[in-house]
Amino acid sequence: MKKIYLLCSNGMSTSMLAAMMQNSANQHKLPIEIVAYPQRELESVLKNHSLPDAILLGPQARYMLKETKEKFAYLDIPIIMIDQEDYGMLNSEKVLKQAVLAMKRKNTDKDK
Amino acid sequence: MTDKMLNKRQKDIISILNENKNWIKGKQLAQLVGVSDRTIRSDIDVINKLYENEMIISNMRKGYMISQDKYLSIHKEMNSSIPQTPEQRCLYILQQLLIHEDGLNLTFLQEDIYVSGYSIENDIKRVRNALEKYPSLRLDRMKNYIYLKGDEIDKRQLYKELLAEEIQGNFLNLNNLASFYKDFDLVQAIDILIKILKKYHYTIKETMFSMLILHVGISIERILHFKFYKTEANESQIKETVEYQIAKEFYERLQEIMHIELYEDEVCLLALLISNKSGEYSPHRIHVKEKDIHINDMIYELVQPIEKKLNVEFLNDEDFVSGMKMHLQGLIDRYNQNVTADHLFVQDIKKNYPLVFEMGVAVGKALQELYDITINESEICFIALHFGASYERLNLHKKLRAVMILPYDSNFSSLCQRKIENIFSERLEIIDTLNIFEEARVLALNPDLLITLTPLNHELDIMTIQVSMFINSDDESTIFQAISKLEKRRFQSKFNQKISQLIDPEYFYIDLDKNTSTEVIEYMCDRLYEGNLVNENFKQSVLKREEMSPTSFVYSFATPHSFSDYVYHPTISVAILKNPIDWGPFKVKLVILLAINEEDHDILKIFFDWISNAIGEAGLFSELLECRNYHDFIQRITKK
Repeated sequence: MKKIYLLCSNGMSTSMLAAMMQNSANQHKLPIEIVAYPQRELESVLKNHSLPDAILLGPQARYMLKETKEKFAYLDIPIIMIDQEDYGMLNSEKVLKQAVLAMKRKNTDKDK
Repeated sequence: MTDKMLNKRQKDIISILNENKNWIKGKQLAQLVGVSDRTIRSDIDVINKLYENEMIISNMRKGYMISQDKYLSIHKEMNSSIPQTPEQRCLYILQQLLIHEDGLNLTFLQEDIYVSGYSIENDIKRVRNALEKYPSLRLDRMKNYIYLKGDEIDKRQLYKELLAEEIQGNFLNLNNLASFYKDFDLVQAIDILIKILKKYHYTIKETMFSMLILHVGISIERILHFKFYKTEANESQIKETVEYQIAKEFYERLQEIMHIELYEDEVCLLALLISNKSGEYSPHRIHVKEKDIHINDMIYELVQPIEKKLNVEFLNDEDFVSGMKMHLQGLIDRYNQNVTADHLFVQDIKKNYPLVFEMGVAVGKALQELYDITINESEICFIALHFGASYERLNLHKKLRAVMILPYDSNFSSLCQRKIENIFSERLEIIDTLNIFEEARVLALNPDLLITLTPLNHELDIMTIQVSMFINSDDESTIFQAISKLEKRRFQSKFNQKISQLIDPEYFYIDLDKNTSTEVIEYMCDRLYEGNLVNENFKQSVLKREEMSPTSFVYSFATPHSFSDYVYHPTISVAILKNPIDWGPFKVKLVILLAINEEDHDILKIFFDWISNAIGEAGLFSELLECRNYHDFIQRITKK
């Protein structure tokens, strides 16, 4: 199972998209779990659950991108922004694809 | 009060009078029962004396009649606790066997559950059948006693299963807790308390709330019966606190609807309770029989044996520990001042939750042995309620149980099983594997999920999924989706309850007529502020958040919310706009303003999950937009 975490300041903005993305993943029979969290909870979540394979940040959390990348660089996973338009349009398929590709690329990078 | 003291004929008389509901002449009654007039007269005397309330009215001309009201008021308490059906009796006997390790006396058992010798034999057969799924357990019979014999492990397993059934949804549910108290309406009282907490902007952690309810219930019950006692908590420093204000106002409001007297000590005690629920002030030592005891030690000594027996970590449950601390404090105070707790529906609790009650009994025994303190059954019940609530909370996090049907031989099958266990270890445990599907065995195991390698047809109401031997990516997704569904189901009733609490009808608007998103947000936030559910910073925060990035979605809805915890009382305010308005890049008709805190995030998850599914199913979501009233809206969300 792979895990994707969606982050924003409150964990609410991205909940909707997370639910849609989970639906898409299930429909395509992809063993991926997508969960939304408030950014400040991430550290404690990491302690209690298995590690994610990708972290996506909601468009309004752009200001957090740098800090998040630095703080969680040790996880060695893709940390990317969700496009504002995709967010509003709830383009769950597109965002899911984006995340999956990023995870694949990271894996092939690691193998090299 | 039990009609064990009546003989069969007297019980028959009551029965006949009750069925008839009209006057019956003494002579007729005598004929029906097969005795003389005289005997009837003395029987009725006995009956009325026992119940002390003239349940059977007599009239010179008309004869005898039973007063329905009086009959019902007595039998309400009793009938509900007598197991009526064979299944109920079987369950009851199992429970009693576990409780009475030194054997059950059959004669007493018969009397206890009002059955004939014949029925008891059938019941015993049933019990033996029920025990079949525990290989080592059996029912032994010696003379007039029956015993449960077998390995400790199996006994414990049986115990836990019965306990889970007993507790399910009963100890964290306010309505059910309220049914334990006879003399006042706990739901109404808690309602008042919540309103006052709102008014003072005082939040209590949700998980601690059930403990607070238990204690408030105990306190009110005690006060109603004038069982006051002095508490060491009556210090001036308590009186300065906001908790004291809250407690005072609470009792003052209660006085308006109940006949209670108000005593300073009780107010202080409640204040202490409330502040303790927020974890701010904890008494560490209590004075018992001329000794000072460290309360943590006391709790450990009382609870640890039960923990060991059940293999359940009650002491890890913070709320249980703080609840027990508070309770023990009160119990010792009461003991020291010779005040008894009383007037719970003790019989009800004993009969319906015997295993939980036993936990209270165990603590009672320990109190006796270790501290030489004797407590009555009401106190035992209160202690039992704490255990019940804690066990229920702990159960909510239990793993799902699965049974695998693996028709292949050892090596492959164990690899397959191991792979699933590794991937889903947090949420699933495979309790057994079978080579072929046997309905009886599966039923006995009672799993949440059946995982099979080959197509399976059966009639059981258990979720079943098919996977391949190698557990490929597809299979992982299948298992994951099944787990998600099952977890959601477990949570469903809690979700239904919470979501209808969160979506407050007072802040639910139909045909809201505004022109811009800002106007909508301002209106909705203002109203929440007026109602004291949010503070003065909330509105600005929501607007700011909206400015950073619109919260609207392509499906005509928006989810405005604030950055931080400016919320006093979690609420979801909903507005269905009169006309769709421009909101960021989309047109929006449904506005869902989220004024909630972190603890309610699980609820949100399910709520959005619902929306996500609704969006998928063409008509469902748009129908939501056409809702004409609050109830319609809630019904749609809580369906399925």
